[in-house]
Amino acid sequence: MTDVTYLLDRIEAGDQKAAAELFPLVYDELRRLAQWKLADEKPGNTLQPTALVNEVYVRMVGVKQGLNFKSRSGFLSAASEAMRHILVDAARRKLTRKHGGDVERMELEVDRILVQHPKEVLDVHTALDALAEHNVQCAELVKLHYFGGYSIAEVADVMNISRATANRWWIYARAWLKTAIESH
Amino acid sequence: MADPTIPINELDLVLATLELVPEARSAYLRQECGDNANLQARVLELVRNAEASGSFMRRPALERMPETQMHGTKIGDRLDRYRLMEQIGEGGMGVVYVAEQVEPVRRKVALKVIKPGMDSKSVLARFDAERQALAMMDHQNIARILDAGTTEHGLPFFVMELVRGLPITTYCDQSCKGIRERMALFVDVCRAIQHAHQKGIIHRDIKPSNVLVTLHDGKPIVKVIDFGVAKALHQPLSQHTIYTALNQVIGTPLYMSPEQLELSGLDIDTRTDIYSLGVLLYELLTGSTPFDQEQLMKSGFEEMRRIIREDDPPRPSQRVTTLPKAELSTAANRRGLNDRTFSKSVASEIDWIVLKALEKDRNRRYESASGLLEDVQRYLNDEPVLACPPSWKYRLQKLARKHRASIAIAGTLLSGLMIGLMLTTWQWRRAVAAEQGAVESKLLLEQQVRLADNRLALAEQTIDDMYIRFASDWISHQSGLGAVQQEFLEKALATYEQLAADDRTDTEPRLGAFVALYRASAIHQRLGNIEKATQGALALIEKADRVTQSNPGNVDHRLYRSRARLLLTNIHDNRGETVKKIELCDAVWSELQEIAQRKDLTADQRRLLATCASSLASALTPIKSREQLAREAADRSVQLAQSLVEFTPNNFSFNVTLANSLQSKGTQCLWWGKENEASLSAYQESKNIWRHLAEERPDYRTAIASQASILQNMAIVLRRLKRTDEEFAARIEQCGLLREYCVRFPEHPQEISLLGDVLRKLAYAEETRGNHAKADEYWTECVDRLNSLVERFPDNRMGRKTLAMALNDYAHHEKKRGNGERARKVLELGRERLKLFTEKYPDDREMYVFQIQILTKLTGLCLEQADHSMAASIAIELLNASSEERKAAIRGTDVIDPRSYWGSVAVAVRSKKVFEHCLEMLNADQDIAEVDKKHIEEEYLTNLTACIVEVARSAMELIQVENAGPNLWAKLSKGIDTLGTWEYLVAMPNVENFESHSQLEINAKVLDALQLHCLQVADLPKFWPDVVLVMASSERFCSRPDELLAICRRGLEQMPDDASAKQALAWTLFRCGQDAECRDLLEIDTVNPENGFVLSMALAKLGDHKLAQERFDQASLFLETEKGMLEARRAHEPAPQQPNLETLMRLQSEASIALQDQQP
Repeated sequence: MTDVTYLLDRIEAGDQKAAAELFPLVYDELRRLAQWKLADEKPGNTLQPTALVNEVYVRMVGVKQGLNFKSRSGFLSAASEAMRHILVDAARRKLTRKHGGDVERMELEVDRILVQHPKEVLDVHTALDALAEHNVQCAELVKLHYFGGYSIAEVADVMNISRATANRWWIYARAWLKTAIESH
Repeated sequence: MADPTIPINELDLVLATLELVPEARSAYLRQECGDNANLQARVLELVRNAEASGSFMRRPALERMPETQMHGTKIGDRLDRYRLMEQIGEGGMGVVYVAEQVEPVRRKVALKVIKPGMDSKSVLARFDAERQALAMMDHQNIARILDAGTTEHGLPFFVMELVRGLPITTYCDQSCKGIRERMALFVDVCRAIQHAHQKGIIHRDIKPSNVLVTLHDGKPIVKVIDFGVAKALHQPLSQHTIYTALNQVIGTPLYMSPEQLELSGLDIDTRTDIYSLGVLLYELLTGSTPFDQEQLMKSGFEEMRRIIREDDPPRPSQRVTTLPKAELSTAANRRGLNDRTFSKSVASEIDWIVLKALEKDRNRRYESASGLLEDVQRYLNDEPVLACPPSWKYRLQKLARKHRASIAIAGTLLSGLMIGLMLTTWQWRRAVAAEQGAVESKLLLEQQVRLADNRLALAEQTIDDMYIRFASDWISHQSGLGAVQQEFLEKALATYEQLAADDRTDTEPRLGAFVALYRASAIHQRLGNIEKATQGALALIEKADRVTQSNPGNVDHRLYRSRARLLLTNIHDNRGETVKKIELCDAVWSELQEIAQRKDLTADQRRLLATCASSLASALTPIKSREQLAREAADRSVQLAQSLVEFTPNNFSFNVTLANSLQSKGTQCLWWGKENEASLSAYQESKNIWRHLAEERPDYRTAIASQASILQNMAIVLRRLKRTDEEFAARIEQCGLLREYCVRFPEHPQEISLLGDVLRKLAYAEETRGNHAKADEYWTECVDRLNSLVERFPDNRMGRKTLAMALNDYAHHEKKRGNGERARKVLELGRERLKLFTEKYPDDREMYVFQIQILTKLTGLCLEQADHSMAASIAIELLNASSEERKAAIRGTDVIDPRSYWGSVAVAVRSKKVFEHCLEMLNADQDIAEVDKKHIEEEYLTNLTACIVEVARSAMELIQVENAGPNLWAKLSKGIDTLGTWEYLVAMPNVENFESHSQLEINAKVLDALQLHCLQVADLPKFWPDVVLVMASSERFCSRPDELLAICRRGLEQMPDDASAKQALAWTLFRCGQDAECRDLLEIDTVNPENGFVLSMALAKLGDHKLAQERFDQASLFLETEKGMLEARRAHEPAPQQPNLETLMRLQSEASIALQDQQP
């Protein structure tokens, strides 16, 4: 079985494919962790994307010393993407429920994820692909910040750009997405 | 005018425009965009949206809590007009500083500021209450409050008069005050305290260091400081605080009243201050405290409590005469007396006064500080005092009280007896009633009925007591029920049901019947008879409706109606019927609010009200639209419970209510995720109360269990706050509690599994910290405990689950540490256990999930260890598990996405055997439509291919790791038996990546295998062209082109419409030099870029350079598009299926060289 650290080493060595391979592993782990977290504790637990991602990071990578910037960013990016999928899933389910979906159905524990504004999540999710075609870096920033739950400052560190740049990009990306969603 | 050749960056334009004032924007954009009106409009729209983004994306998709910052204060800080100069005290809630006031006058003051992290709503409220209390007091013997405010971080503070003085005892000793002078000063102390009591404030901590004397114009003035701190803190007394006090030699316990030393310790009223005043007076008179400080400090905590609660101190006069000579002289000198006069100076009246203040039973103390004051003054005025020596009768009573027997065990035995008694009483009452007409003497009848009623009431009361004491514990607790408990509950149920039925047809049903009906429903629910529980609750509601209609003022019935509704919400919640649940909750809330308005509620009604509010808060917390309501309910409940406890501090069930209320408040804050500090402080408070309750009643297991579950949640909060060390400490504490619990109550599987879980988390934490040895200890204990748990209580689901999780995690860590063998052993254990679980509980879907996880891991491990046959057989097990999970899911009416189902299987599947098995199962699956089956099969095949390539890769990795290239042959040759031909075929070409010298040999082997395969199976498998393509993509391929060509032709015959088959043939044709045929095959479809490159090479060789170049360019364009698409797809597909870009690029470069070479 492919080990995460191995993949990270490959990302570090500049292997493009490794980043893609990382995704399903992180996704599985995130989902599983989210599920456990929700099952684990008494009612009284909200999921925190950053906390989850960080925990997955520790679980999968460990506190490995000397992991370089590139592979850490690679991991966080993959994890934010995975988080995005989980959230979009949750948002979809929430919306279907609202529209008379089958309420009696047994809920998967992961459905208990609290997505506060599912419509927006889905809209952003869709528009984000278009943004990625237009400006990959802005899209990456949105992914890390909006779906991954990292602060703009943290995102700036992950993307190796200045905070001011990250802020500017964020303003632009949000306006871009809003425009795209509204014109739809 | 901008240079039109420079591409204009939309992003820069938007951001630059945003920085301009709106009026300047159009001009700027005209200048930048020139004639491009579209761009102008576009940028303006973006700018507009940037400025009017409103709440759009303001918050992350999943809300995250703000990092709580610690904003403490330190010396040198300026708060408002005050500069902090020196810290003079610190309590649990706040810190006290000497501060300098700068304006309007320069002076020194005392400033008390709340500690950061203590700013929870309840603490803030109390801090404020203290401030207000101080503000209310206006007495020359009490330090005044001067000002109040908040720090820039919102922490409240208040400013008091700074008292620089000596403790009253020190002052008196230093200035050799005589007995009368001392008593006169003491009168002032009493005045201050009386004033406070009149304002409803209890000091709680009267001791010399809080009673200071300053000189004002040469006249001593008493100033009582630190008012209301203990009360505002509301800190229950604990062993810890007492020891702290002792260690710091503050001597606090010396001044504590017996009730302050009660461990449930919240029973404090003004008479506590009277006791402390008594001690102070004792000390002022004799020079020592009633109990010897050294002796108290030497004795243990329990002994200390005992002494203070039970021992009678020597009378002051006695104490003076028994002082050692040296001490006596010193004390006498300090009072301006000699030994003899000192002994005589303490009159027996003074003894009586002091002893009356020091009574163990507060009812026998002075009722007020002014009572004490007046008696002291009577003495000073030589009038007869009211205090008198205690009587013998009273002493006897006191003795009897000392020997309260524990009824813990007796109680359980009694309960059965009581039920019996109750039933007979009840029958008797009925019999009597039935014979009413026959009995001659009406008087006798009435008497008997009354007697019977009394006995019934008594029995009802008794069984209810028993129920509250034991059974409510079992009901509220999630643990499985032991046989004895089950029996008790069933008996109690029978009783309650009879009681409930024994409802005379009066318009006003007895409350007892209500209680009984409620209890019966609760028991039903606990025993899993949901239908009966529902019926009971509904019946109760209906009855209550009737009563309420005829008598709206009947609070009890309405409270029980709320309880019944809350019970129903629970049931609805379990069934996911949220709408019904919310309806009920709303009804409960309006009822509770109405009831809360009433001024005539009894304590017990208020307790019920608090309980209902707390349950309501728990029920509403997860419902977003009722967040505000949930908050109000929780706060109301805490507030009610607090006032109850304040009023009757020793009442056990009030304390339980308060602990519960605080706990659900904590959980609520935790759930919302934004009020971490509030959550922590509520939890902490609740935990303290539970601890005292546990100490008071060691058999009350809820008290321990609640502490454990609070700690579990506190750990979550601490983790959020990234306070890792505290989190770890909380887990350790939880672990300790649960270990203790499991020793004391070994029959509760729930707690064992919780213990297992916390051990798992601790092991995790230790792994993270790098303490692998310690982690190992935890893992071992964890697995041992859980393993024996599932053996002892096979039906405990939580135990099974925790064990599965623990094994999974343990294996993960062992593997990470490089202990593959140990990891495998752990996983084997998991495999065996989960096989058992899934067989025994086929409907528990989660078990399959765990089984799949463990088997997946095990498969991976076996593959890594090159144990392919084992991997294959586990993969089959895995497949079965997945299929079972699917079945269970279907049984549970949960529709499962077939893709994820097959996907999860395919990840682990790496063998042909498994593949075939899988297809078989797919075809046999009647729940999947034929159309879907095709789709799934395709997807499955794709997954399979990917997995097999991965097998090959991991084989290579293994070899790379072992640095044993030559062994590859051996391994792969062996592999042909275990892996199957197909895997072998795919694996082989990969070998070339690192063993180019044996290229020819490899190809030969592959071809052999391919032929063998073709011979073995009549039909070529659908996927074989892929293999050929892999081989044909490289020029280096092909030692025996003719044989390969033959296979390809046969393949195309079998699958004339298959693009891959055609492609494989075409490529092989090209590799074998048959360019014309290759061209003819490929010219039909030029969309595929791979084919485009091959085609261009074939064309070049055939001399058609123009077309060759055209095809090459076309293919290159396709390739670029493909690359771009991959990028785009990566952004939104979990795992985009990747076109073989490497192959394409290699072909491209090969073709470009070929084209150049063939150039005329």
